Amino acid sequence: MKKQIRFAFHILTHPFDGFWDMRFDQKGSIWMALLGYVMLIVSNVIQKEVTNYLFNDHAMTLTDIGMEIQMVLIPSALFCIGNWSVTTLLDGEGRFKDIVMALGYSMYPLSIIPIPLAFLSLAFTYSESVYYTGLIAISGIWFFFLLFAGIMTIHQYSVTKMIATTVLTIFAMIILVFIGLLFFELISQFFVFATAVYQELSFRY
Amino acid sequence: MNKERKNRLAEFAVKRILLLFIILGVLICEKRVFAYTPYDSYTYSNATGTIEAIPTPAPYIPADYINSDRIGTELSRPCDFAFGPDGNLYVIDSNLNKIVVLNRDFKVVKEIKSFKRDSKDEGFNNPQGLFVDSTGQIYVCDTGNGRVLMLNNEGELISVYTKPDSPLLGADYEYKPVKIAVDSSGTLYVINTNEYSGLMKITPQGRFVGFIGSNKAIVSPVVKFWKKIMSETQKKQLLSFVPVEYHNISMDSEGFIYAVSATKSGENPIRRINLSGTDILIRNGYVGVKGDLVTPKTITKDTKSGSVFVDICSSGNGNYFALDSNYGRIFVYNQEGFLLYVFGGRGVQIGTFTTPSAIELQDDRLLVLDEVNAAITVFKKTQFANLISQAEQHYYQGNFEQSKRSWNEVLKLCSTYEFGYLQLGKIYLQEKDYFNAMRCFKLGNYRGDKVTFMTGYNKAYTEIRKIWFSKYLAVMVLGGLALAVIVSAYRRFVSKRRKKQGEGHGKL
Repeated sequence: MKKQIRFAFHILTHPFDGFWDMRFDQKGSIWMALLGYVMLIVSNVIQKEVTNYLFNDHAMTLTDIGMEIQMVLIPSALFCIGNWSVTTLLDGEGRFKDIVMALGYSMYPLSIIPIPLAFLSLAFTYSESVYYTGLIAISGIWFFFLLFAGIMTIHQYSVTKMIATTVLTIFAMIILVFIGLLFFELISQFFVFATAVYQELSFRY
Repeated sequence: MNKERKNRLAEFAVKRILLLFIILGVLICEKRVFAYTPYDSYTYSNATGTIEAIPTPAPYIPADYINSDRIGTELSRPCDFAFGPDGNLYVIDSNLNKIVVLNRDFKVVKEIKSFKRDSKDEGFNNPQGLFVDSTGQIYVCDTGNGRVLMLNNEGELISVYTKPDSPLLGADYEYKPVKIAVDSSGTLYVINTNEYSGLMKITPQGRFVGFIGSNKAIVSPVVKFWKKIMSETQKKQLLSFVPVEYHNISMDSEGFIYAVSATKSGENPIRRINLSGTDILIRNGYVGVKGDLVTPKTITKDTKSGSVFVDICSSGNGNYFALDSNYGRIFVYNQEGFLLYVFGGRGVQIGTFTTPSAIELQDDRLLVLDEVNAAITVFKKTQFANLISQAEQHYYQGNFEQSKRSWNEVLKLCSTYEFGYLQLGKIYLQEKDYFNAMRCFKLGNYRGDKVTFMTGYNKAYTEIRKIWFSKYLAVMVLGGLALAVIVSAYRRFVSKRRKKQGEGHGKL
């Protein structure tokens, strides 16, 4: 366990080395990666509930935990599926599990900075707002850097190829959303049709 | 005997009490009388994270409807009116070319149809605007004749201001004044038809000084982009982008000019212009001083396009009332630029308008002129608006206790009225009651401005933090020192123990 935590921090500080070990030396674990997702959900809830009213746009609204879970899991699932479908076609060496793990490990900065910051913000006023926004920005930048490095390393891509696949991944995500909506629409139409036929028949006989 | 009597008495008392309760119950449960208004009253709030219209009690309710039948003389197309210092109302009719003077009870005092000029009778031609100064002199925009007339209170001509002779205005400059305001020194501020350069400032002697309060033309980045790639012929077909045009002006009690420009894309449709022509209006609140919000997210009040202001008037306490012709609404802002409330609407019921064209305020009565209906709707202030005015007045006079009481009354009538909480918070802040200030600012959803840090929740929070630090700083420092001593002592202890056991590492 201690080793796993130390490895997670190794990834945070040495992403290229860490993700290489994760992909090719079977270091790290899927559970530690999934902890990243869970911590992000917890972090989002804590940010909305704890952060000082001065920096919190959601201070007067109720937090819906189901919504928070969706807001993390749906985009993550879209990204993983989208990236996997693009990279399998483009000689990516990462498996689906590696993508899920890389994303999970990359999410650590989104919780390890904002959670303490939410409590620290209670001591802040607008005069210190630059520290608040600055730290939030740093966590975001750190996340994107880790994700970029992670996906690049597990697939063994060059920077240009990585950028190209990122663009393609975004397209794939849009297509997934479109197909998903189409599917649900068709299914619901079908159910409406089926119930209508049933109703007609039951009225007649 | 005695017992029986006692019992009967008790029974009687119980019956009495029951009856009393029933009567009281009926009295309490009786439906409250309330005034129905044919329009919604609202203000904006950002409590849920998106700006939304929040209903308020009606601040003004229609009290009277004045049309031709009522006053006994014909009105055909009244397009402007003004109050004189004597409390009489001067209405100008552009179709019948006359001024009708009405007293407080809307009875005709006199009509001015013509005046003597060089011992010849002359009349108006399509007059569009008028202004009555503090001595009762009447300034008329005689639009069709291209001149401004100055009449005394009896309707006798004093002077005529024709097109000023100035090199700034070319020879073919068309002078068709539509609206006018005059300051205490007699300087005229005139809005000319299709004039985009601003207000014409004319001295009492009739000399043209220049344009003041000119608007800037606003070109959107998208248009700029298209202009770059368009051909010359395409560019010519494009509508010319001109600055917004002023539609109406009014003089406030401090001698500043309130001006409205009726433009759908205008950045600042309402301005307060000082003598040098700079806009000094204070803007605040979620939407700014621009009437209705136009965001698809918040179309709660059928606002598919923004407000188009046609007139403005101000009250003695610094509030101003802007009349929107697009939705027939009246927007009331206070002197700090916060939206107090919105009311009015378009329609055919009394209290709504088809073509609102002018607005004036007399004491607590608000008058709105409807041009096509040729009618004046008189609104009277309700308890709600009265309490708000009282509370504000007490606040500016420094009677914080009374102001607090009035605001609490307002909040009893409308517990979602954010501005009330905001003002309560300000009072608590003045009284250094920071916890209550924080509570009220939170309810009023006012975090404070990010530039000066001088007000709002932020200020109250800063003060509380200061107090907290000064109280607990010593404890915190001592506690920290104590913790450090304990930790180092423990470490030394552990390392000693380990040395004894022969490990030799000082590691914890």
